[in-house]
Amino acid sequence: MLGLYRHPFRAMGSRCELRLYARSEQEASAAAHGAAADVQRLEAKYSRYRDDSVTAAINRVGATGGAIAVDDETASLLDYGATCFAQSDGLFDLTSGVLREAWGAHCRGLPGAGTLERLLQRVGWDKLRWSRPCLEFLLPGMELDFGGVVKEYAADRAAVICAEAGIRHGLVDLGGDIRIIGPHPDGAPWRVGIQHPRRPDGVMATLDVARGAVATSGDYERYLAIDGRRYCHIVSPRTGMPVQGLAGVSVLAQECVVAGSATTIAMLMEARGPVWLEEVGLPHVWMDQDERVGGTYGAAVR
Amino acid sequence: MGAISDASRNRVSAPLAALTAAAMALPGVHARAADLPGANPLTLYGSHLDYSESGGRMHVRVNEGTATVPVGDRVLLVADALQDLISGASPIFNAPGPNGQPQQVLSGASVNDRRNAGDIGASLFWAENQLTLRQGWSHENDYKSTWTSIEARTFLNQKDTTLAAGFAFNDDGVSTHDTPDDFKTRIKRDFFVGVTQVIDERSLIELSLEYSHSNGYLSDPYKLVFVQSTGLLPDARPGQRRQTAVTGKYLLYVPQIDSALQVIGSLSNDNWGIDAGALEVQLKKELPGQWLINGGGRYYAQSSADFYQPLFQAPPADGLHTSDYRMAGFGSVSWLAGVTKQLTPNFSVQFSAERSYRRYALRWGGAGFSGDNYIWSFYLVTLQAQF
Repeated sequence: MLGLYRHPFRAMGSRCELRLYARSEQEASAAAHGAAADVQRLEAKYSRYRDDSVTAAINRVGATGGAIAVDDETASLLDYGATCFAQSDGLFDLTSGVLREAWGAHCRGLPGAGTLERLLQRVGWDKLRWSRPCLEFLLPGMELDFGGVVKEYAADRAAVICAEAGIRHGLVDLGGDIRIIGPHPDGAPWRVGIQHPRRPDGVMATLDVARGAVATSGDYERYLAIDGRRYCHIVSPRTGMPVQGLAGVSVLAQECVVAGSATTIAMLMEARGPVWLEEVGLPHVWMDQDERVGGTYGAAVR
Repeated sequence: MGAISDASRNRVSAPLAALTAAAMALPGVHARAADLPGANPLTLYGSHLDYSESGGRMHVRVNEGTATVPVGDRVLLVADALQDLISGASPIFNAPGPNGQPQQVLSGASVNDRRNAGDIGASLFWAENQLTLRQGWSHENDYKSTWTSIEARTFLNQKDTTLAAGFAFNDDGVSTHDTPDDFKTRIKRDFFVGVTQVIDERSLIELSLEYSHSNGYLSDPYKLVFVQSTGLLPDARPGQRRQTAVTGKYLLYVPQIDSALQVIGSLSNDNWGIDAGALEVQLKKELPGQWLINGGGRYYAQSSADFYQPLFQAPPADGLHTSDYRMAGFGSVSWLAGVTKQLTPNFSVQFSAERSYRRYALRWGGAGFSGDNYIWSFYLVTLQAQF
């Protein structure tokens, strides 16, 4: 007899939860602990805030310029970042994290044009040389940030760890990045509510998802409000300015990491985002800043 | 509706192909087929329970095995078998002591009983509903029982709410070692309704209401009462019993101590005059290395049955009388603790122990006496294997 077990925990700055159907609390707990431990491992490994993280080691080299050899997992993430950079015409860029200096939570006003220009000089995947396993920074003062892919990657891995522990039915939710392990035991899909970008307790869409993954990105997660205008945390590496156009977008894909990078790229494409998603061909739903809703997941949007 | 429509599956764009290929190269994003356990869902459980009371009283050992196997997606079959061995002595009646106070008279080391029991059942699943039917049997020399139960559950609100209702019918026959073929009939019907509600990601609450109605021979053929004016008489209880019980359970995960708190409270009442209440609090904590520990306490109190007295001066006019210690007013305090270790994904072992102190002074009300005070403890070892 399968029971539904919930395993909430905090990681990567988000509320996370594993929902697993298992024959016993022990079976659920064994799977959940393995999965949560891996999420925490990735958090520690790629944290920007920990001196002992791989990200910190890379960025120490980035600060001065120079080369560093990375492990296989990090190399695969860099390959993935390189693919996103290529597929987004350079908008999805693992080096754009330095722009946080202008738009971070500590900022009280708009940055001057000179500030953005100075920071943009230190942004650009094409300003480093990536030849597995060697990463070389051609300019000093650059930084890498894996924040745009690690949470989704962790969701994918957590789901696989649960599946390998015998869980057939369940889902992994890392702060809204969701990877399905399998549908409810009777085959029914999981019902995923997507937060309304402008109404904190409202739902923009409800998606029925039996397999694969859902990721969501929006301008409402972290933003600065200056003179009544909203500046979101997703910053264009071209202009140095927070993106405008879409308020929120959710994408469904087989892998959470693909769904997540597609949402980020759509946000970065701004007004062209919906067209790009259409071309990519993944089911999606979006809301623009005028609260118009669209997407290819029409039947489930409400 | 599935996640990926057939239309989009058939048309893989160049960006999607590139992103998917890069994602596939990430370690651990897709399960390797060879790593997935095969679909062999037979589950077997075995357990051993050992219960002993202080002062050389009852000792019970129970061995139990359960097997479940799904048939397709909609049916789960269950079979359960158990054997218990009871030995030791139990109070038969109370006699006046030298100071006029009642004293327990135990049976000699006479009781030595074996009970064999089993049941088979099936659960059916459809949409958000589940229906379980079970048929069980139990047999020992002086007691035989046949029971049937049906239970329905429905899951609402994305399974955050569960409604349950059930009915069980027990048809029992009671005899004694001295008259093994003279079975007297006892019928019991149980009804219950319950609701379980997930409150948020950290807590859930469960409420249930149970009503049972018994009739037939409800006395204990081994118990006697001491009546000053006439001597020993057989235990005699009403031919009908109606019991109502309400139980509440609250589960809360406390992140500050990474533990789950479980509180269970219950109140019951019957037409024999027994009011009872229980409160159990337990804390469960997972530790690294696949250990789970739990510990807590339980308080229980009941009032005595209307027809209970430790000793009777004269036979009551209605002919009903018992001195059975279980019908007395008493309370008890228990400590419980357990540890579970997951040895492999298919195999776990659990050990739990409980020690209880029964005290007349803790009674809810009514009659009783301190000669019934005693201590009992039990331990339970469960081995769980899953194949």
